[in-house]
Amino acid sequence: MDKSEELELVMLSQQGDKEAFCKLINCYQLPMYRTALGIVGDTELAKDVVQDGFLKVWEELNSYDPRYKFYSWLYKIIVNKSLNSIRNNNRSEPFTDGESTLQNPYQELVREEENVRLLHVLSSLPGEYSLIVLLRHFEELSYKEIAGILEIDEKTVKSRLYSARVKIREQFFLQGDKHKIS
Amino acid sequence: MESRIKNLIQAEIDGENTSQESEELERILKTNPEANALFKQMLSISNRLEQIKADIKLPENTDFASQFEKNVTNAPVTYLKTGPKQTNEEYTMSESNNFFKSSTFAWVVAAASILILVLYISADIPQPAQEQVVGTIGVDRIERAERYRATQITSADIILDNEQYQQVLQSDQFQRLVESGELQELAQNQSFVNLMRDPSIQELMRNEQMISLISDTKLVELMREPAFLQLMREPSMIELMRTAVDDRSFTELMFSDRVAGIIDSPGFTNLMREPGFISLMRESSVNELIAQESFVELMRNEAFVRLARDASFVSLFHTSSNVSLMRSADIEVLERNASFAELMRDPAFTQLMRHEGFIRLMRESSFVSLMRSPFAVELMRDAFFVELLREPAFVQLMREPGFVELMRSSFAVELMREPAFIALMREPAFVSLMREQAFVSLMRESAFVSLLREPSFVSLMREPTFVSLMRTSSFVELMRESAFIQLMNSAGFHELMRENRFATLRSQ
Repeated sequence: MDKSEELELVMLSQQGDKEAFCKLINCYQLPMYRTALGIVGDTELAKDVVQDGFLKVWEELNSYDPRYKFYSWLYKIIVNKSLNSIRNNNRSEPFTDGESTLQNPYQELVREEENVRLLHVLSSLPGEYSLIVLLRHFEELSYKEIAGILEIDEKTVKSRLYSARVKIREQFFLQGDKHKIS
Repeated sequence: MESRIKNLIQAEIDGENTSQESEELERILKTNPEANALFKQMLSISNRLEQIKADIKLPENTDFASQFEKNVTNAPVTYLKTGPKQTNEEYTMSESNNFFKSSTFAWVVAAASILILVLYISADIPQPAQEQVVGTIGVDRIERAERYRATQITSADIILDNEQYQQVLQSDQFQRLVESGELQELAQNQSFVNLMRDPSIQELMRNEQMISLISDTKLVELMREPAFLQLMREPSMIELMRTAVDDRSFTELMFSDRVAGIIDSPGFTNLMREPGFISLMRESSVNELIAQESFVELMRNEAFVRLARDASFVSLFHTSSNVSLMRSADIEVLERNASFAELMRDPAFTQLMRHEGFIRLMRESSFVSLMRSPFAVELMRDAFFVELLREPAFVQLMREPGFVELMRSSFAVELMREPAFIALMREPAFVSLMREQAFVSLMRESAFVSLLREPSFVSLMREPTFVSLMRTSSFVELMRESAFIQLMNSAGFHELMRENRFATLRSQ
């Protein structure tokens, strides 16, 4: 969907056009679900978060400032909803699904063994690191966009992203089979 | 490892490096194994994450849109006509007030103003002038209110179906706009009236998307400009507005202060009549360029405008690297140079401008400064030289300050026109020689330059042993002597120089 088409749909939605809003949902549901899933670590919870998120977006559409990218605003709402959700469910960090196992919700969706191992490494990172990796690599957001969504400055985004990559590299390449999933 | 290297690696993976930074990193990676390993492994992680991303799909039977429709339909909704603020709450007055304070409202005011003007003028309704009248505007004639006084514009009875407009019309903001006299003033402007009578414009102005993007004050200012009114009647401009009306960034730009600032420039108006330029205006990258103050300033320059009317020049802007180049302050200065502007109209040169290596060169201040020299501009017109500029080795050479300095001299330019010398410049050994300061200095000697015109000497310069000899300072010193140069002019001596044992002797 190009920018002008998106803007038109947003404007129509602002005027109460549900069909237009549904088109926006269809366009963004996968990235929003992927993001929520990465944070809450549970498919059902992720679906609830995205559903609530879209409803909130609809309710707040009049507060959307068209000078900013619509999807950045959308991500912000979904990320906040997801973080609130894990707080309410007494989960401390994105990705981790309990203390004892290092299971990752994406794991069952990923086919190649090495990629599963990479996800496993990603799961072991502190939430503030893994979330930035997820927004950068899965959602392809710029440093600036990530900074806007997480409300941190760009320098912090860069340094956390670098630290996360170094940690992943150490565990994925340098420690080799140590964490290999049997 | 240095933090700069780490930053370069990270930025390269994220596609945030400039071309210079990428080149710098490439050089580092060749010589720094630690950095190379880090880069490769981080890149591999990045690629794997890409694969993982592709594997993640929505769970089966997940339909957020249907669920959303179900949730919203089920909720007790009272919608405000202008937005979906409520899903399960009653509409409240305070939220209504928020709407009236919002920027959306400002657009709607503008939209309503234009619509009224269009309807008012196109309907040819008799207007009672110079006297106070009472006018009514309403959704339904029964609901008409005695609201607007002392204005020509409200003397017409206009029925608007859109309730949103109705809200606007009854607002204090709209009343203030009417009372300011600006709308009436426009309506009395014959050029504007003529423009509004144009069916194409009327059709265009009824496009809600366009109307909603026009801010009231900017529009009023623009509409006062005869050049803008004239421009708006151009079929190409109307076509552009029609096709680009849904592109928000374009319409915002067209009605921005910046464009308003150049609209009175005859050059710009002429430019906007060019189909090629109009088509270019639809490109988002060019939109961004025009949004820059320095570029707008450039568009006031007659030489640039002449250039911008040229199809081959315009085609350059279709390449994003060129658009980003044009943002450079150095280039801006260059573009004001009449002889360079002339050069940019040359198809051979515009062809060159599409070449990535040349674009990189154009980003270097020293090269841009060279291009200001009339000699260099002359050279750039030469097909052989243009061909040479496509050679990566030569482009690299052009980055050497000493060589760039040499190029400023008329004799070097003459030399560069010699096909034999151009052929020589393609030889990696000779190009590497040209990087030697001593040799560059030798090139300043007119006697030596005359030697370079000799086919047999040029042929000699291709010999690795001779090139290696030319690197020795004592031989270069010898070459400065006119007697030796004379000697060098003989074909027999060239033969001698080709012999290995001579080279060995000289190096001793």
